[in-house]
Amino acid sequence: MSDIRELLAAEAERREPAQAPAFAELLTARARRRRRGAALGVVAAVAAVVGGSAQIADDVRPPDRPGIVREPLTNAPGATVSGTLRQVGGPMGTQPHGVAGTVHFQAVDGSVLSAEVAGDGRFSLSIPAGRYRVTGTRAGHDTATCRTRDDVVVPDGGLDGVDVGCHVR
Amino acid sequence: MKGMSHSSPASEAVSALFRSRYARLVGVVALVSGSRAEAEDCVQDAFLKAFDRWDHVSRLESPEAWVRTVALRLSSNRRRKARNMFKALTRHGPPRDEPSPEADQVDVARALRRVSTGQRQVVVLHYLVGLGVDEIARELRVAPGTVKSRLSRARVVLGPLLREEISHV
Repeated sequence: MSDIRELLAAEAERREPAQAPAFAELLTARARRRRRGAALGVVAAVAAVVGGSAQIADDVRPPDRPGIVREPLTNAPGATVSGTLRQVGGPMGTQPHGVAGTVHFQAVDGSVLSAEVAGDGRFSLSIPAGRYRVTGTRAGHDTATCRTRDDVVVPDGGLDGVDVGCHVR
Repeated sequence: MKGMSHSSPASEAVSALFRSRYARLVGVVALVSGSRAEAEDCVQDAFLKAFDRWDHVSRLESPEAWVRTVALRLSSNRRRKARNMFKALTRHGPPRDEPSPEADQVDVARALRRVSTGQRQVVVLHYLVGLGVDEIARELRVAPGTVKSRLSRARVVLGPLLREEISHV
């Protein structure tokens, strides 16, 4: 009888998959899931409210929509933009703090560049100079409830300190 | 932490880690979870989390160990939340496209099924991955005494089933 280490190693090897997906495919699939979830969330929000409330829901919707061709970030030249995705509000005494999620920069032509934000809330991405509507989605949430106070104008030299606020009750 | 595109240095680093370690990690997690499909889901999710937190993970001594820990934890969480579904799946046995097991493999698979998830974790981490009691305790966030007791109990069950004398830790 073989040693238990050998038995376990053989069993683990037998369970190894013959093929592995490309990691880029995982990222793409996740982005697609998030877009789909965000779109469903917006549909629900629009159905649930009327008039001005519906306009608010539209304002905070992430700019991703199925069918729109996105500019890949690899081809995005230009200025470096950095900032923080920050949760504001919550239980009494809670200080604003960085949160994980995704930020979306929508240019005036409708193209969108997105970047993942990790736990401390900091993000950085390279985008062409220009004017952007900036929204954000907290990790684990399907709808974009975060945004900057105003549109962001990115100069050629880049921009730091973009504050994307997620206001919670 | 900064946002990352699909072709950032972080993405390339995680992709390289993914390519070299994915199959092995799936094999390890599958031994614990009992399901290759579930193991693949958990390992893929763990790699995505590693990507999101690459600034932190890349500074660790072993990013692979971090991914393994997260994947094992995800697997445990899934099983806790969907125990009924897991029972239904295991009743149907392994997928039909998997090769027929050899006698030793049957012994191992059957034996592992006889011990709890926690015991499987320590057995796999000790005998397959080669970690010591203290290392396992840190990885699973349990007391060293808990690791020892789980190993001891698992040995009681696995020893006779594998017709193997397992040396004490």
